[in-house]
Order: sequence, then C-alpha cells, then structure tokens
Amino acid sequence: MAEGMCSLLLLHLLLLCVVGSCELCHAWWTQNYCYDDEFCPAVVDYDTRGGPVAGKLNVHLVSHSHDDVGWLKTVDQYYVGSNNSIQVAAVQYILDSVILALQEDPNRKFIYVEQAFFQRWWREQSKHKQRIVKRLVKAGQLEFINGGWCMHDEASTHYIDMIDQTTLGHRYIKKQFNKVPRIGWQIDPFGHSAIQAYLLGAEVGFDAVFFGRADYQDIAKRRIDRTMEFVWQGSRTLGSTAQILGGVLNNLYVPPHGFEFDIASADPPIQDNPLLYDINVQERVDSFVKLAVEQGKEFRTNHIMWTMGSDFTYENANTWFKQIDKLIHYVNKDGRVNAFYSTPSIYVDANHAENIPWPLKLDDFFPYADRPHCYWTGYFTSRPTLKRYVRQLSAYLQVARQLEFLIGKRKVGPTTDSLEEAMAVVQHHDGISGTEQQHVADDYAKRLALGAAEVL
Amino acid sequence: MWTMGDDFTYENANTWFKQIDKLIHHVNKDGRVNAFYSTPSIYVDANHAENVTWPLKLDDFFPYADCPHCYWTGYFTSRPTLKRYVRQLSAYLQVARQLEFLIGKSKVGPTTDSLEEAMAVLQHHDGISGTEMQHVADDYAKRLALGAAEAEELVGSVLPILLSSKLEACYEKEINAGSGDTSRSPPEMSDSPVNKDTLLKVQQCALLNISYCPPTEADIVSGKSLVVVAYNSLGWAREELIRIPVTNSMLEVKDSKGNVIPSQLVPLSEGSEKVRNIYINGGSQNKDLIFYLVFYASVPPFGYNSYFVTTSMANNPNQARKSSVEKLDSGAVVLKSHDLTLTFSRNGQLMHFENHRTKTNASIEQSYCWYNASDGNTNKSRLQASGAYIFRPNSSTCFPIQDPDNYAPLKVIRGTLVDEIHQEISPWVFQVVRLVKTSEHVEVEFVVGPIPIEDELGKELVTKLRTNISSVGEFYTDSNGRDFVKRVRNYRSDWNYNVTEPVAGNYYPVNLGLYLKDNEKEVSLLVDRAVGGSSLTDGELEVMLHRRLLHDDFRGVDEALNESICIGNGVPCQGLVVQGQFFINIHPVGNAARWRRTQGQKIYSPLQLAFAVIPETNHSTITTPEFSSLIAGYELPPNIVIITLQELDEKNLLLRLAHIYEANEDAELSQVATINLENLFAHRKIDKLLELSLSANQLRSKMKTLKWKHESGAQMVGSPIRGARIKDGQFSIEIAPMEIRTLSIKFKNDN
Repeated sequence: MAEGMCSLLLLHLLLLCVVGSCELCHAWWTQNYCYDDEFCPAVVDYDTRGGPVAGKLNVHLVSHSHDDVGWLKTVDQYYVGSNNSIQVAAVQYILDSVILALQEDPNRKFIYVEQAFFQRWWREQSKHKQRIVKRLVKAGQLEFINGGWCMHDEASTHYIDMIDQTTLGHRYIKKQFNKVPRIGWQIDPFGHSAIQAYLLGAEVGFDAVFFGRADYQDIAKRRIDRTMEFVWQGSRTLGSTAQILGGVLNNLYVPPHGFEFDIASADPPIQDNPLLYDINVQERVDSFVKLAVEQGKEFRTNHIMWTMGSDFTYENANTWFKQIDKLIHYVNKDGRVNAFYSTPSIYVDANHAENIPWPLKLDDFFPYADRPHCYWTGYFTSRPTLKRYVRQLSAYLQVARQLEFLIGKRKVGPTTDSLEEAMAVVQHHDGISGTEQQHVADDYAKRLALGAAEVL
Repeated sequence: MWTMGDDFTYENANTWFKQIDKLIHHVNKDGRVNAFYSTPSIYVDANHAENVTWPLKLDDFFPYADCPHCYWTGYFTSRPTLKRYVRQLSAYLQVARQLEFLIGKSKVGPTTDSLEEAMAVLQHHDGISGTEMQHVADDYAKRLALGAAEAEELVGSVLPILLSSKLEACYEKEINAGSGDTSRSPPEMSDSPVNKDTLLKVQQCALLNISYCPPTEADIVSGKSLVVVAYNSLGWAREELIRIPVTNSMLEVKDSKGNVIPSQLVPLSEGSEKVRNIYINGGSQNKDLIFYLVFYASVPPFGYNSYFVTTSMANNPNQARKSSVEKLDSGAVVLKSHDLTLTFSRNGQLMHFENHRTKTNASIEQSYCWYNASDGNTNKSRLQASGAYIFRPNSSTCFPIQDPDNYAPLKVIRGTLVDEIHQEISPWVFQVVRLVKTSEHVEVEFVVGPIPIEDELGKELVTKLRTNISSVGEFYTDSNGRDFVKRVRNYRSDWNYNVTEPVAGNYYPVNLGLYLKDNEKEVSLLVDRAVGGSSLTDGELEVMLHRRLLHDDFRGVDEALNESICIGNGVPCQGLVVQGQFFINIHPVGNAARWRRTQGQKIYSPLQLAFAVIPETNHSTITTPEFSSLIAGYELPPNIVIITLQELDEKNLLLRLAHIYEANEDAELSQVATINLENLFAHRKIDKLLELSLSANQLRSKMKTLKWKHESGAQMVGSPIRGARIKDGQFSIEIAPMEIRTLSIKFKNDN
C-alpha cells in the first residue's frame, strides 16, 4: 500500500511542481496525501545532544537572560514584574520558566548571573523545587556565571565594594550548591577596568571574562586581527601571575540577527511542520551557517559562542528552547557546522584545549564609545551624590562589621546584612553608574538608608 | 464570572496562574467574597441551582454599536468577494460530499476534508466577516482555493465513473465486494464495465462567474460533442437556464435522449467583458468574440443530466438562435416573460413590475448610489471613520451614480429563451437585468468597481429598490440565511433607542434576503452572498454591495479596507471589482415566502456544471447520461432540503434534513413534512438509523439541557410543533417547520 501511495504522491508532486510554485505544491501534497504517520513528518524527535566536534566549526549556544538589578524599574519591580508599563520584565517568571524548560530535556543548558534576583527567587521556593534546582545545577544544566550579587559597574565602583558584592553572591552559591563560578560575565558595563581583569577575575579564580561593550574602533580592528579574545594582564605589579582570558562577545550579548526567540520577537520561528504553510527550515539553516561562518573568520579557533538571550528574556523559556532545539537538530543534520547547548565554561575549556597562543592585552577598556561622537564618559560623574552616599556607606559598613565582630554577630538583633545587600545592589552597572531612572535612584537611596539605619 | 484572559494570552500561563493562585489565596483569607478557579459550565450549574426566574429575550442582538457613532454594520459587506467565494464553495462542498458518498470516501485519493477544513477556518469572526488584514484575507483565499482544487479533483474523478458506468451493476458488485473492507474504492475491478483508460476527462470552471471556461470556449470542432453535465444537489427536480461561454456561434444542443432542444446565443455584457478582460486577459481584449450559449437543463433531484453541444450547419433550424441586439437611448423599454411585464425608463431604471398570473401590479425603481464614508474628522465627540468593521457615512445622503445628463445607451437583448438589458450605469457600475421567459422574478447581475478614490473619498455602494408599499418602518432580514427577523426602523425592542446614526444604525446582516410589505404586496430582494441591508424609507429596500475605504476604524485590524488587485504583467494595481447577482420579486401579501424559500435555495445551490469532449458519433462512453440518487420519480417535498449529506468515517452517512419554512410563513408549506428515508437511496439499503444532536456528537435522545424559568412565561402564546421521535426500525421521519434533523445512517453492505 505504501508503494502505491508513493507513486501517486510522486505523480502529484511532480505535476504540481511543474505547474505551480514549490510552496503551493508542498502544501498541496501534505494537505492531500498525509494520511499515514509515516507520511506526516509533523512529529519530530529533535536531537539536541552534542558537543564539540573536531574539524568542524563549533557553535556554542549559550542561553542566558541579562537581568539588570535596577534600571528603568527598581530591583523589586523587576523581580515581581510590576510597573510593566515602563518595561515588560519579571524575573520571577524567568526563573520559574527556565527551571521547567530545563527539566524537559537534559541537553538544554542555561546560565544565570545576578544573585540579587536568584536569591529573591530561591527564598520563595519549596524544598521540593529547591531539590530540583540543585539537581539541575549538579548536572550542569544550570550554571552560575559571574555569580556576584549584581553585574557591577566598572567605572565608578570602589574595588572593596566590588569584592564585597562578588563575595556575597559567591558565598551563597557555595553554600547552597557547593559550586564555584568559573567565568566573569560583564556583558553590559560600559567600559572595563584593569581591576576587573586581574582582581575580580584572575584573583577570584575565573578562567575568563567576557564582555559586550568595547570601543567601536577597537572592535573593528579586533575583528580584522582576530583579537576579539586575548590574554588580559591587568596589573603592572602582579603581571603574568594574574592573567585571565578576556573576550569581546561577537554581537553585544544578543543572538546574531534573525535568531532572537523571545516571546514578542519579530524574528521568524523555525517552521518545520509540513501540514502548515511557510516552511522555512532550509532558509533558517542557511542563515545560521552563513552567520556562523562569518563569525568564525573573526575568531581564532574552531569554536565560537552565540549569546542566546537579551535583557529580561526567557520569561517564557519555551519560546527559546523550542526553537534552539530545532536549530540544533536541523543545523547538525545539515552538517556544515556543529551546534549545541553550551555555557561559557564549556566554551573556554574548548578554546583552552586548542592550545594556541593568544594576543596579550594590558591595561583596560576605558573610555567606551559605541560610535563617533558617542563617548560613554558622562556616567563617570552622573548622580554625584548617590556616588558619594555609596562611598560613605562603604566605609561605614567596614566600621559596623568590625564592631559586630567584636561583640559577635547576633541572631535576633540588627546586623550588617541589609546594608551589605543594599551596597551589593547599588554596585550594579545601572546603579552607582547613575544611568538609572530617577525613581530607581530614589529606591537605591532608600535601600541604602534602610540598611544604614539598621547599622546605626 | 470573571474572564481571566484576553487575545492570545497564556503564552506564558505561569504569569496568570501564579497571580490567580495568590488572588484566590488572599481573597478567601480575607473572606468578604469567595473566589475560585471555575469554568462556564460550573458557573451555569451554580446559576441554575439558584432556581431563579430570568428575563426573556426574543430575536437577536444586531446591530452592535460600542459608542454613539460606532455601528459595527460595515463588516456585513466588507470584502464582498471573499464573502461570495465562501458562499460559492459552501454549495460546492455539498456537491462534492454528495459525489464522494456515491462512490465511497477514498483513503488515498482526493477527499473533501481539506475544503471542509478551509471552510471551517473561514467562518471565523475575523475571516468571512472581512475584518482581517489583507495578507490574512489572501491566506484565507489560498486555503479555500487549495481545498476547492482537491474537491474539484474529487468531483472530476467521480463524475466520469458515474457517467460511464452501468450504475446498477456497479453498485451490486460493490456491495458484494464490500464485506469488511472499509475503503470502498471506485468500482474498477477487472471484469467491471468501467475501464480507467476510457474514462472521460471531465473539466470544471470555477471562474464561470467571470465568463471564463476554457473547455467550452475551445473551438468545438465538427465530429466532437461538448458534453455539459449539470449536477443538482437539491432534492427537487429542476428546470433551469444554464449559460456557458462559447466562441463558436454555429452550435446546437441535444439532450441526453438525443433530442435537439432550443438554445440561444447571448452576447457578453460590457460589465462581464470588463471583468473578464481584467482578470483573465491581463487588461487586454479577448481575441475571440464570446457569447453565452443558453439552454434549459432539466435535472433530476440529487443527480445530474447531460447535454451535448455540437457544431451545426448553416441555416440549420436547430441551431442556437442569435439574440437581437438593440441600442436604445430614448423611450421606455418593456421586457416580457410568460407572466411578467417589466417596464424600464430610457436610462435603464426598472420602473414598473407586473405579474399577470398573480395580478400584481407595482411601480418600482431600482438604482445605485454611494455613501461618503466618514474620514473620522467630522464629529466632535469622537473620531470615528468608516472601516472594515464600522459603517459611518458622513451624512445620510446617498449620492446617485448615474449622471442624468450623460449616460451610455442601453443595450436590449431579446431572444427565444431570455431577454436582457445591458447597461453601463457609470464607468464603475455595470448592470444586466435578465428576464428568463419562464421566470417570474427579475435577476440583476452587477459589476461594481474599481470604486474611484481619486477624490480621496471612501465610498460605500448600495443598490436601492423604491416601491410605494406602505411598510410603516418595518422590514424583515434573515438570520444567517434561515429565519426572518422583523426589524423596525429607528427602534429597538429591548431599550429606548437614541438614534445617533440614522443610516448605519438601521443596517442589518443579510444572508438570504430582505423584504417589506403592506396589506397588499410584498417586495423581496434575495442576495448571492452576505451583505448589509436596510429599509431607510417606507417602501424602500437597500443592500450594500461594495465598499472601498481610506481609513482604519480603530477596532483592531489597523488597515484601511481598500481592496486592490494586482494582476502583474505590468498592469497597475487597481481597486477590486465585484461581480454578483441579486433577485427581485413582488408578490401579493402572504404569497412571497414560497418564492423566497425556493429561489433562495436555488441561489445557494446552483446547478454545478462539468464538461467533457467526446466523439460526436460515439456516445457509448456515456452509459448513464442522467442519474438520480433518489428512487425513480421521487423528489423531496418543496419545504424540505438536504443540507448535509456527508460520508463520515466507519461507513456512516451524516444526513441533515431541514424544513425551510417558519410557522405561519406559508399557508400550505408551514406544515410538518414526512420523509421516508428509503426514498433517498435508490442504490442502498438502510441498516441502522440514529438521530443525533445538531453537531452530530451525541444521540438526540440522550441530549439533556438545563431548563430555565423565565419572567414572561405566561405571555408566550402558541405551542411550537416538533416532529415526532423516530421509532425503532422505522425510516420515516417527521420534520416540523424550521426543524433540522440530524441523522446517522448505516447501510447494509452485504447480503
């Protein structure tokens, strides 16, 4: 019977392909002759396995969500999802949703960065949910990257505050998951300091630090020279004893053009259901391969990283993972390049295994300009009183901690914890930087004031 | 009940459920009110359990307005060609399903499934309504076209089998071979009389509406016959004029018994030529002169008949008669059929209607005019433009189309079978008034468009019928092509109505037709698709035929309804042209329902034509030129129609029979009818019969709905009649006025 169907099918297909457009003929065929499951490729078991393959261009797909610890909305508004008329963003749903999506397929991976948000979420979770998350972390499906309380600013932060806020986040991750973040992920700050490289990078134990913003002229040259990634030696004194791999990301921290899959994205989803119109699998795969090959020419090894996320994305993680599942399946079936779920650690290890020499970078990445006439140097001074308030409380926090130590930390009375958390929040690159909305600056000041009041 | 959702919400269900969880938790903890997850069924059960009395509502909820100048009555007409396409395919789907049933649904070949699905998609309230974006309307049309193409393939494969088979033998064979095998294949076993290679090639013409039909236009060479198969999906025998475009003027027509029948050649109207030239010839003129060959087809119920067109020698008396053509620009014109006399003014306006048989004598004026669509800036209280949803003329004035000082002369076509008046009313409105000699109604064929917009005014074109019938504000419009609902101008039965839009607020949806009456006469207008219509002055009916608008009306679609057609070939895009028909009749009061119901059914289910070419001398390939599925000589009573005849899976037939009269609508036909189902299937024996609910998902006898008390219980007079329940083992059923009975039939398939 199948043979008879096949010949009939082919006849019609041929006929239609001769007279009509291919799309028409395809829709025609599927509408007419798709009776049997064998002939209904609507159900596809996507093969999302995979890892680096030698001899091929390896595309590391890194799923992430860049969640500002305050900017247009306050940190709590971002977490809760209130004030959505300003910006649709709700971190609680991002984490809810990502955890469910990771459980659906053990090959899926996701990195999470800002502990200020993660800890807000974690404290709301049942023991059962916490166990699930621990399993996902243990399996490497959920990896903490950067791991500080926020993704701190690098221009107006004091190194002591940077250390403090990083320590706060790292200690929670250690305590809850027994994990140590390996990679710096300063993808959004507007310029990058030497301290970040050697102190908050190398001395923290990071193997690499990635960022999205560097001077446009610098990036243009780095693309040509294939120096987007380099060994960064930030300290004149500590020299080669405090080196780290530095990397400018290919496309800020967002996916290459056409592969953004957030819920309201205008980019085309992969349409592979032959029962529906507008199939685009081949076109999407061709576009993927083209972009990957272009990027490959600007990087040194057979490994490139695609940052599959953007600001506050993954509120509905399914829209991303479903599409990335399909991409991996069809791109690898095509075979020209190799794509898989990855994380910055896996990417760095793969690069390291190549054992090639890297260019050396000294000093820092200041000031930052994203195009002619656009120097991001105003924020060095923006909101000078907030900047001073932070500096003042930084010293005050040290005083309070010393006194707390002398007496012994109390279980019930006031502690330095809320000032510590408030200070950690304000180190954010839209906090102390002064680039947040006024109502958010007010909220930061309030947090600092409440934290300080407890310490008084 | 709180409806916790909106358009396309719950893409991330968690954002809703997490918050509703919290609401329920905290609201119930508070305790002042009680909140919980529910469904409409739970809500209804809870309401029902309260055992309270409810207010009673009659009729319907049309038209809808959401603010004083915002009547959603434009969409009754928006995208008129999509509306017509759906209506046309609705009838075609019924035809295809009937033929599919006759042969047995194929497992591998074409089926009606994709047309059924496409039609189901189109019924959406932003589909056939015309309120979707243009690219979505295009997609809808594409779905319909693909579904129709498959159905056409099916029809094209079934007709040759029927035409070439000895039906009785064929069915017997099938019944013998049918045991256990659910996929009845077409009867083509090796010892069968049907040989696949000799099967006819049957073609159909989906574009007959714009006078395009390649198989009939091809030169009919001597020695060949063009076979015209007319399929009738109604359960009534029909004798109707059929019209096919031909390029050969020396033709004669024979019926299936070989007798020559009268035929007439009618020239194409300017309007038809214009549409054909735009859409078929890419704007250029036809190479060949095209005529319509017209002849009567007499088709048995639920079956077909075949006619044979051949070339004819010069001066052969059997040859199709050419019509006389007369150009007139002065004096009145009179057209006559056996019973009607129609008088037209010198500018082509129908002026007077007289039916000698019914002794009906009435003056009537038919005309076209357009409303100037509001651009939204004329009202201080709120900006509201006419758009895909909303009809808002910027005044109540309907501007005449015809220039009274300068109009093209009429063309009067007269012949033995049909007379026509062809008229160019304006450069964008063409009309043919057709009077068939045996007919008692006026058939109007219109071609409207491209509606000019160079003056930057959106336009909404209507046709008006003016009579002197004293209708005192009352008129009647149908409900989805079935019941007629009484409308009263500037009045609502449920509230004190404040008139803000004297035109748009009186528009109602029309699917079958509308009429008005006084103590003496009724005037009726029947339509070929969904339109908006009204009666804005006593004695006057109007329907909107086309609209072309330049502004969005802010109800969501975010596009102006400015339908344009781009045919390519370097021809500039232009506004859509609409071709269609409506039918006018005047009756003595109380006698019109029969025409409205019967004619309405014929408009919905026109004879479906199919064509083949065979050698003139050898008709042996056609062994069954005439066929009815009913037992010989039987037809359904005039008040009953088959609305569904569809083979479902598992060899079950879904049959719906509908009574098409309301209570008291016709003295004779608003009565219970009794049908013996065995009469419907000459070639099958019924094994089991079940009555189902309307949507065929439960046994009628098991269907239970809640009973509600209402406040006006005592006021309701009369006792509705329902057909009796079907008794076990009986195949005879009663159908009461306006009833639809849904039946599942299983046939005996072996001896």
